[in-house]
Amino acid sequence: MTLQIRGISKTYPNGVQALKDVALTIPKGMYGLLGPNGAGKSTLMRILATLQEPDGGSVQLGEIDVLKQKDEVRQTLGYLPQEFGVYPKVNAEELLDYFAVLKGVGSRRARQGVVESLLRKTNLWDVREQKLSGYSGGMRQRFGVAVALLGNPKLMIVDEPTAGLDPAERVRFLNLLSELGEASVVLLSTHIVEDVSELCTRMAIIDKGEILLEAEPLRAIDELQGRIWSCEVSREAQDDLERGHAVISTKLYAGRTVAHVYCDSTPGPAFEPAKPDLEDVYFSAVTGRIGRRREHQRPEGRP
Amino acid sequence: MKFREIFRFEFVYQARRVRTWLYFAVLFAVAYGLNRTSGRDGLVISPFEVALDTVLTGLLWVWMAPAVAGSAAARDVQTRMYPLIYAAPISKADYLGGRFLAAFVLNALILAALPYTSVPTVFSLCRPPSLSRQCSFRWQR
Repeated sequence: MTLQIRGISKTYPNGVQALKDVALTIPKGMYGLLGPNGAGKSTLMRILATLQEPDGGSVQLGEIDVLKQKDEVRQTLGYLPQEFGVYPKVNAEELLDYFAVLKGVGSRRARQGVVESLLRKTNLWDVREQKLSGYSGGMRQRFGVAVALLGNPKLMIVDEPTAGLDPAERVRFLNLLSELGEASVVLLSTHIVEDVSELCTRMAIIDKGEILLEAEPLRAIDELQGRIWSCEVSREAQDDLERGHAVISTKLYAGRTVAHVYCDSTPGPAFEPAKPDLEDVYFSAVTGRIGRRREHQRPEGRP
Repeated sequence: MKFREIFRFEFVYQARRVRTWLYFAVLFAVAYGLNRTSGRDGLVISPFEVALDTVLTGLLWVWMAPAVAGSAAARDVQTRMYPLIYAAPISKADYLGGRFLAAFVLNALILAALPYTSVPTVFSLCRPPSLSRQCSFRWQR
């Protein structure tokens, strides 16, 4: 089963164009959608989860037209939104049982089995009788995962799932997702590069509503070999460096500012070759050194 | 199946809340007080007194009914659980119908506090051992 997105556009009434002619082909497995805050990821996720209408375009999940056959999609959809709450006055077991009914798990005995299995899988079984109002952010997120996993979804959409999780919770959550990715289309939207590098076999980078790059993470990193250079830079010299070189990112490392520069050959004696990683791929795409933004830019004035 | 479960969940959720029983208790207490007051001349369950008490207590219930119905209608948005619910395969009829019916039945049960008050009112005004004599005497006025 493949999810095919063709020409999806969305402009909000306030004039903000959230998506511009987005086209993606997402096969079975883990697929990462990487982009900064406000890039349009959540809008795309909501459209795929049948919660929002696009202005134009089409989305096909196997034989199902996602924009027209919403009931069919929802039968096979697992959706974990970026932000969600829960009823505070019920416990996890009751609410998950309720969602199991809504997802069409009919008999009480079947529901009991499914609920127990999912609560154990998400490590919530021991706190199943605790009111959801007493759950921490991570526990609530895991409860959301349990809801999303109900009914063995063929399409799983997870929107910024690891934001706000502590490292242990994050690892547990990513393991859960990777298990699911073996049998379903899993679309993981995030602004955390590590989530994609650890999990996804394919990815796309989105910014300002446009898909800038669609690639396999390892291949994209390989293609940057020999093109990323690093140097330590003082705060005062940072502006000069940005004027003279194609700086893709600056970050603090042990209290010192380290700049990464994109260049086909050595940009100068002060620079050392850096081993590229997915973060470099991401910043190179967002700053227009690689991908579609580079194609759109004129060559003049480019380093 | 889904309609029934949505109704059941909503009904049980609100029935477990203290607020729902507080509404019932307040209506019961106010209706009882009105019955006692209006019944001082012995006309405890005259049609006029019952109608008058029902209308007065009903005015109070008008302030409670939207809280029950509003909770059923707006809780998903208020608690931000709506993305999970709206992405589930349920029809509008099941979702809205189940919620509406639960709120309707809850409000009906809260309103039932009014007729229920007539029982303790009658017994408090007509105490044994002279229950039959006193009541029959009073009601014959």
